[in-house]
Amino acid sequence: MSVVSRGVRNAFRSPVRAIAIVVILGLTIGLSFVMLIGHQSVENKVGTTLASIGTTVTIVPVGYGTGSTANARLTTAELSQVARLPDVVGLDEALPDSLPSGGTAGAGATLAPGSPGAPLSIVGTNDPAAPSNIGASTLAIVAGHTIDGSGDADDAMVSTTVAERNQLKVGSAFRAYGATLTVEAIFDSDTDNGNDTVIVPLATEQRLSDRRGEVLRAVATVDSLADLSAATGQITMDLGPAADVTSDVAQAGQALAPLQSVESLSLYSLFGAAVTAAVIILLVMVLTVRERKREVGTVKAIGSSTAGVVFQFMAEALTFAAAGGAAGLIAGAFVAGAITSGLVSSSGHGGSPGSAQAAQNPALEHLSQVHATATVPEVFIGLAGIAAIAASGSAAASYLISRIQPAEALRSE
Amino acid sequence: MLEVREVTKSFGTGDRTVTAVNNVTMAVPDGEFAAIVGRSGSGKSTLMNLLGALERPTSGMIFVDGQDITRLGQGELVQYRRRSIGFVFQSYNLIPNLSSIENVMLPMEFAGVGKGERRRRARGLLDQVELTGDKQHRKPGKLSGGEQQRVAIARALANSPRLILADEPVGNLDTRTSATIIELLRSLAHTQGTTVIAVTHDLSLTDRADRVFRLRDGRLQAADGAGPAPSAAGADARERGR
Repeated sequence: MSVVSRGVRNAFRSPVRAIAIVVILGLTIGLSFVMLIGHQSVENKVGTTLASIGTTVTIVPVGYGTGSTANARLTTAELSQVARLPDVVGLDEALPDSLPSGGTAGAGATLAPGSPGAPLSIVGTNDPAAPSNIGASTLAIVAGHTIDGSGDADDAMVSTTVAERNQLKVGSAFRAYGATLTVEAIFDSDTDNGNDTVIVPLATEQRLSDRRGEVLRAVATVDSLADLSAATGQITMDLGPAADVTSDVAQAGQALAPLQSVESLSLYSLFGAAVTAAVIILLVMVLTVRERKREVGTVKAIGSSTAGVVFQFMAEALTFAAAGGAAGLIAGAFVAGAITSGLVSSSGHGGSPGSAQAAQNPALEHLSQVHATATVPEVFIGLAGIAAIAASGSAAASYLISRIQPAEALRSE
Repeated sequence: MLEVREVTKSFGTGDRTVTAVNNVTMAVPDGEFAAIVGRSGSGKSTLMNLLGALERPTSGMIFVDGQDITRLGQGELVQYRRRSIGFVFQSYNLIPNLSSIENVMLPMEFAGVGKGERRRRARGLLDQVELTGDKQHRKPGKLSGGEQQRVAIARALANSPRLILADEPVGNLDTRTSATIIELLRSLAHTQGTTVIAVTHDLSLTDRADRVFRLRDGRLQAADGAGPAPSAAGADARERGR
């Protein structure tokens, strides 16, 4: 019989005691496992959300969108230094405005919005194909071709609903700002606001609205997530206090804050449950070793080494941990999803569909949908943690006893 | 040859020091069955623990075949207990969840004997102490006191030690079983040349011992039967003369 098999058999000397220990360990290890799964799942969700948000930086004049834009201006000249930053690979500039609407009319008439009563907007942009310019996540050309955003021709793109309402087709003309614009493309977007927005080249809008060189919103694309923070800081510094510079990651940070609190909570709980399991094993082994102090003296008297005594108790503790771990892992795998969902839903996350963050960035929708599943690495991490706890707890307890002189151990009752 | 020179063992108990073994000098030749007698608290068990290297003396030297075991390092002490000593405890000290044969196999496992050889030798030793059949596979709780003591003796013999130390080996046994155990220990000494030292206050054991050491308050008072170191043959001759 080896030291391992003796340790395993010792674990079940008293079946009632063994079952009690396994149940207690199973509960704490199960809780540790649930928290590990929850932590990993939330961490994955945060990671994938951040990865899907992209590497863009939004630039608007200070106070833009709050109704106090009288003195807030950005210009293409100012933004040109942003475009020249080494980490910036693209710069989408836009100048939105409202279009006065009139009744439905044929070619050459003032436009009516696609939805009766809705405001009709116009946006000048150097990237007419970008859906973000019209507050949408998709923009699909259904007729004609995308206009040249870098030019200043009186060309325009209108949505299908505006085209139908105003009986327009590719090549038709309509009037805005007293000028005649030609429909070069008809598109479909996924929002009502987007479908009630006319898209024209940036320079055209600046000229027609008599705001030459002015830009009200720009989106800089940075080459990588790693450079995003530095690039955001550089843009902020270059543009000074006149501009509000916000990266998507910063915006996401607000939406993800509740999830990150769940991540932290699960991590603390994981450590708490793991420490509890360690304390339980340590106390069980301290009591076990003290109970068997005389037996320790006997086996040392008949030739066992100190290491042999320690290994035997470690095998015993690992047996308890393995049994408790198996029970905990199985139970934890069943309840991890429910507990993680409960933690997320009670965290007051802001990523639900329709929330403010989700409205600004579709990538921030469905943040509450965290799928807690145990992966192979998590199971291995859990098992390794259990083994380490059991080994260290039992080694510490048995080493203290096994160091004493055999005669002293034999004298104990 | 076991030789004890001026050995003292003191314990600190609170603010006072108790000397359990006080300047003891004695010698036991190979192949002799010796007894150490004395009243409770006279230091018998402490002396046995010192001989078995279960603890170190406060002063003095203990030579076993010329080697001073008080100077051995921890690793060497383990080897000494493993190879040279067999212990028989008063309360048997068998491992309760191991069967008789597994208890006997245990010291051989520590000594690195192969599993098959361990089992074969353990079976033979249990046969030798007349514990046969299914009793070899019973756990200690299912055996009588005498049977447990025989298992303990078989365990003490497992690694063919040069010295067997028996602490009150018949203290818990009835007269008949005591006689059997005493004869077993005697025959081990006289037929196999194993030195057997038994601590006892049982007259039936001292009557059968080749040499009796008397301890009082930790001091050796007298050594009855002490004389020239007998050879195994001499011991046998003395045995025949009884």
